Amino acid sequence: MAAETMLGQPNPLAISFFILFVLSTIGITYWAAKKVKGTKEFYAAGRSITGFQNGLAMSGDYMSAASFLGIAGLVATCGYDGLLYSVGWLVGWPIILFLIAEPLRNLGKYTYIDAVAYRLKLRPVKLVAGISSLVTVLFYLIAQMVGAGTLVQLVFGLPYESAIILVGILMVVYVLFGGMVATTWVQIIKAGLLLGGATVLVFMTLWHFGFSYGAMFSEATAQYGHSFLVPGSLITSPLDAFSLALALMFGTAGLPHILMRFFTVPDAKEARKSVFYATGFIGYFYILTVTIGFGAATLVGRSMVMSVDKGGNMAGPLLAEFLGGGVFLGFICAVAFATILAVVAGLTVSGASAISHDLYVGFMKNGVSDEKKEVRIAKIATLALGIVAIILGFLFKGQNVAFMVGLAFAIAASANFPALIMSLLWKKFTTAGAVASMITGLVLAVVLIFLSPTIWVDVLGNPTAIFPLKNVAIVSMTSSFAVGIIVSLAKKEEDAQRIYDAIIPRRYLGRGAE
Amino acid sequence: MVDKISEKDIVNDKEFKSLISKRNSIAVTLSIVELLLYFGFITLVAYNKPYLGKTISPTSDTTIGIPIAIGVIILSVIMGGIYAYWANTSYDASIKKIIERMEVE
Repeated sequence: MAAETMLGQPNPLAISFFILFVLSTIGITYWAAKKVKGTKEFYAAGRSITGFQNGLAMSGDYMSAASFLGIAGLVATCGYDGLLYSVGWLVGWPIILFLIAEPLRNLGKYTYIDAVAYRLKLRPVKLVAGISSLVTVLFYLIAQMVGAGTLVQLVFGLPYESAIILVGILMVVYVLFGGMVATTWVQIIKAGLLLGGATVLVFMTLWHFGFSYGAMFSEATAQYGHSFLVPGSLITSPLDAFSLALALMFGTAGLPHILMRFFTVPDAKEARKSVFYATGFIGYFYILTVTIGFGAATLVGRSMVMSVDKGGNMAGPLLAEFLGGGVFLGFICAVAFATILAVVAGLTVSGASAISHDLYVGFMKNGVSDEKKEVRIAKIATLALGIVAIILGFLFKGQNVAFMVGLAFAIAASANFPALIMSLLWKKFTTAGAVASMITGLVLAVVLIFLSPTIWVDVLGNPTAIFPLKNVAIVSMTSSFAVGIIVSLAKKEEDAQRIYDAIIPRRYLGRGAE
Repeated sequence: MVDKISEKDIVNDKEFKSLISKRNSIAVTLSIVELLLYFGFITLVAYNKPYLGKTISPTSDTTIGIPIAIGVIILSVIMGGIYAYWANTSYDASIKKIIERMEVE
């Protein structure tokens, strides 16, 4: 068993790998910058990405540090419970494919909000959805920034603050100069590195066990007992289990930065392909991370993993060090950092488009703006988001921000997903219904999480929580649907129903789709 | 090519209508299967942990819960593949045929 680790000291190999990644992505950004002329390039990479490339880029956008380091860490420390996350984070993808992909691609232009607002009144929908989209992105961003700062501190020996500033500057550079073109290629490279790195790590782990999962699970049982391979303490009540499941599944289908990727492909056919490839890559990756988690628990040891980081986030890197020494540790750490960098770039493009395309052009200008100005606003928004991300990274230093990814998923499932799916699939949905549903979902998700054990007890230190469940989606998401349905049925919107019928050719055939 | 025919003709075409409703019922059916698959798994997690904790054979330490969880992931990918394949070949081809037939008419 590894008695000590090089983690915590500057690792020259990790730094070299990382510099190589940064240089190549900056090179791509330089190349992309010449292509980015208008909104179509900035938001949607000129709709020139193929289904396969977009599948990789989607998985790159989705496989965040929370899934790479987080799931492996959760499995290494809690065993089976980690699998609940890998399953939950995957099962939303087929739903996206069956119900959302085609109409979203055919009706939208640059953001999922375009598709929500298509047959409703533009300004109110753009305002509320724009805010909720931005809030989702910001919570996700905080978790990534703090994760990046902590990781860099551990791996590169750089101070937390410089790491945050470095990440902030790089993400702004990618998006500001290269827009969605550069962001897409950063995602693709990162997805390749992450899938490749994790595959090697799993191969070496299984090598150790004579390529027998059974042997690995026997070793886990020998060390931690039978309960390590059974769902346990993470799920305290059945209601909490269902609530978590709802947030994981439908949150995926409401993440603005994922939904935005649908507009980078030319048509619905490529959109379907993208989701299928993304599901395959992500499913494969989650099976890898679970293996890495059990590998770390058995080979590195739970106490060693937890002594480096209480949350277990360093399980993957520690396993790499155990199996492949400093070189492999350096490589995996660089991959983890590249992962975070790519995800924040995707979040930045998405947040900037919520500000420029949805809030500025959609809400303030009623959908009318010249392209040059819109790109300029988007670039200013990018810069502003970079600064906000750095400030938030500083503010949340040393805080336990793991719940923020959960919060982002809860908001996505409660505020973004219900409005999107009802607008796409339900003829009687109205503007008032959409606005009421989004506000209900957003407010309930945020307020209930604040009152739940996650923040009220664990962060604020109160003895008992006001809202009993750790996961809020079962209340916030169902309320959002209920309010949307009741308000829509209360008052008919003739225009919304008329347009719903009129856009059938566009929705199914992509006629006139952008 | 598509633009020669009016949108109204397409929407009112019988064959188009039945194809669309076939597509929608396939999408809804698959979604329901996916939901049953996942929430079936969660129901076991919530109410029947001992079942998930059984070992797959008397000589093994591996619990049934592990292949079930991995199975949900793999089945989800396969169902996505089936839909994407069907939609990108058979469905798209049928749509094309209908449009071509209407152009001739």
